Amino acid sequence: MTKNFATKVFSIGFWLIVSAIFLLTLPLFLQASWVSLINEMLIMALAGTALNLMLGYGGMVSFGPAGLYAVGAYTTAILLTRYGLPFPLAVLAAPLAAAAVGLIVGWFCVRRSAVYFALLTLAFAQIIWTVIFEWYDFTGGDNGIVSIPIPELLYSITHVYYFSLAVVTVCLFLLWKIVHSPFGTTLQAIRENPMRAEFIAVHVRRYQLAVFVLSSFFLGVAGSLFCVFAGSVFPDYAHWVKSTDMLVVCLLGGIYHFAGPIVGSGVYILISKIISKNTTYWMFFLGIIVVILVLYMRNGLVGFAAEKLAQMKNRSEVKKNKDVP
Amino acid sequence: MKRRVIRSIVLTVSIALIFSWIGPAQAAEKTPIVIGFIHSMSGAMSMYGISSEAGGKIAIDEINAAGGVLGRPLKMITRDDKLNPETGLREAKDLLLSEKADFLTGTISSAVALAISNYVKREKKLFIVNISQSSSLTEENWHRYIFRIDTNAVPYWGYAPAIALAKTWKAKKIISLGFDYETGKNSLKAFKEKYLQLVPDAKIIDELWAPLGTTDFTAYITKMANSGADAFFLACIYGGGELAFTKQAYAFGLYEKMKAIQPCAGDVETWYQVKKGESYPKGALATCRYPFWAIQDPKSKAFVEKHQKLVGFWPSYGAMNQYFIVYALKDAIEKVGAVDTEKIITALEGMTLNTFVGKVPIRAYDHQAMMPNWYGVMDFSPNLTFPHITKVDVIGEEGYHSVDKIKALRGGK
Repeated sequence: MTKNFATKVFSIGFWLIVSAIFLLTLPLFLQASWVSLINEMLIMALAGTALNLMLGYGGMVSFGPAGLYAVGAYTTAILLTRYGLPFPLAVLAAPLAAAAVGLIVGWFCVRRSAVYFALLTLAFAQIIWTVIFEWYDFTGGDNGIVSIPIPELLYSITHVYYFSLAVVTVCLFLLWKIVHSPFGTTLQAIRENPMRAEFIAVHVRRYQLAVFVLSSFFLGVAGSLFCVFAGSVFPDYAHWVKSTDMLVVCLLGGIYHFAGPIVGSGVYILISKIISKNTTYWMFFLGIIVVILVLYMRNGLVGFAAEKLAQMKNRSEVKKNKDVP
Repeated sequence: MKRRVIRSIVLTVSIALIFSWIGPAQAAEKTPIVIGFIHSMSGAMSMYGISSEAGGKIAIDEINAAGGVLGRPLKMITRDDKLNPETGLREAKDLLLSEKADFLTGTISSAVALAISNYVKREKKLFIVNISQSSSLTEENWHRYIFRIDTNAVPYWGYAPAIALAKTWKAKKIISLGFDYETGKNSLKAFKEKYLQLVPDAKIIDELWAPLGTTDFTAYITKMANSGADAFFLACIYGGGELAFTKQAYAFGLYEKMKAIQPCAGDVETWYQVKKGESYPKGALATCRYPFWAIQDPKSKAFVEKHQKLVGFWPSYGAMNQYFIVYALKDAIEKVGAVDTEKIITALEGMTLNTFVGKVPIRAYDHQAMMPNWYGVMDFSPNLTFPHITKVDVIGEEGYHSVDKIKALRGGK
């Protein structure tokens, strides 16, 4: 029992080290356009994991993560372009602004549950989109904001990649800590049965609001990172299509595993990239893939893999036990 | 333990190998000059993308058949931007970095164009726009690495219709209807600015604004009919919105009651499926960006035929622009004698394109080609199945913002 546990931890740690080495060295052997693509995956992985804090751990289906993501992106963009703030401040302000907006939006949204919650999040995200789209003097409307004065150091794809990698790693670590804290456990209890949670004196609504704000905070980080990465922002970032991208990333990877959205992000961006390179009917193929995933891998890629691994382990253990006379 | 380490090393190395294998293209004997083409190739706007791609292909086939440029063949690589600036940017990076594209061209979405424009500015690579209309691309957000061989929103939505109206009917009392967003407002602003300068005693008696995406215009149509105006002006109502408006206005008899200025109506893209007997903007004054039926140069006729053969429908103005872009690049490369972005930019600045629609200068100040805008009256003629502009006339450089005006817009820079 203890040994099993030890090997498990060892293998997780081991895989973390392997992927860390891979991520740290990849600009040395990969083409710049792939580095840039992996940068996008990292940012999407953070956005997905932030959403999954609500979706997978809190059981709150949000259709509006893109709104908060856009708040992050636009905060950095506007602070840099209009107010000429120093770069670190503009980046740090993004998650705070997103969390503040998340607090307001969340305050309304957590008052309803299930479908109504989902609809409210969608509505608020569309409000954010409309504000960005229509407020020309401030947000640039449908022209977005271009030529954002990012420090020249971050112009190079490799440098901006390391920047994203560092920020995403720190954020994922924090999210991991949150999920595995008593707060995270309470959250899962609420997901499983809100009423029972309330009976043991958990203030459900307050917890849900807290997770909403936390999730907004990290979505804001992701948005800000994308702004730094792309050097421009557009109202599309707040559009519901972007929200569904994030939801698909979570579902694809598996919402009941911490690594789900991370794997989902990599696979989703890679798939859409490869498909759209080879055919213009990318929507069709993407649709087929999603159908297959939903029908045959209901817990996502990570869930599926974990299930298979567990089965294999079980089998070998049964075999081992049989061998013992 | 040991085995695990070895296994992981093998795994990591093989992943690295797979990744490095996906990328690089083998160098051919004669490396082609690569033109990256990013457009909307799927979804609602794909017709423009497919048509533009065909236009570029026609030019490239002609040039390669005649021996290429500096002895090297031209090659165009197409990517779908899905109308999304993120995807467009990703594809632009991929084209420049892994496909080693020498130039980027394309886009219909202005957001995608702005995103790519911002990127090429950093990378110091050339990007030539073939459709995106946003005037800010060559005005407020202009930089050395962007060119546009196409009209832009100022002449197309505002100045050209104003000049056309001043040359024809000189309507005195005008009512406008537009989509309620920035481009709509800017269209009317540009139209007013030019028209009131040309016909000082004219008046815009009322401005009506419909929310973006409106399809039921009946309330607005009644209002227009009873306004006492002698003409109406559509400010940036296009595509499905324009089709819906026209259907309702036609049924109402609005085109009999008053004169109509419908800027978009001259382009084939919206109207090619409309047949005789169906509703169309009858007798409306309209602008058009490629009235191939009215262009007599045999090269244009051949172009239309080749386009038909290639994709099976009429060429959009995007196809013509992409055709001109490829030839402009060829001329510039030959003039410079090398594929050198900086020198090519200098060569393109102030170059005059010799095209089948006449001589088109590229203005050095804003890198905007002075593409003509045509106008005429919407009608049917025996040779074509769809409604189109007749009595065609052309507006040239006078349709564009003057250099002084752009200087002012750029804050005196």
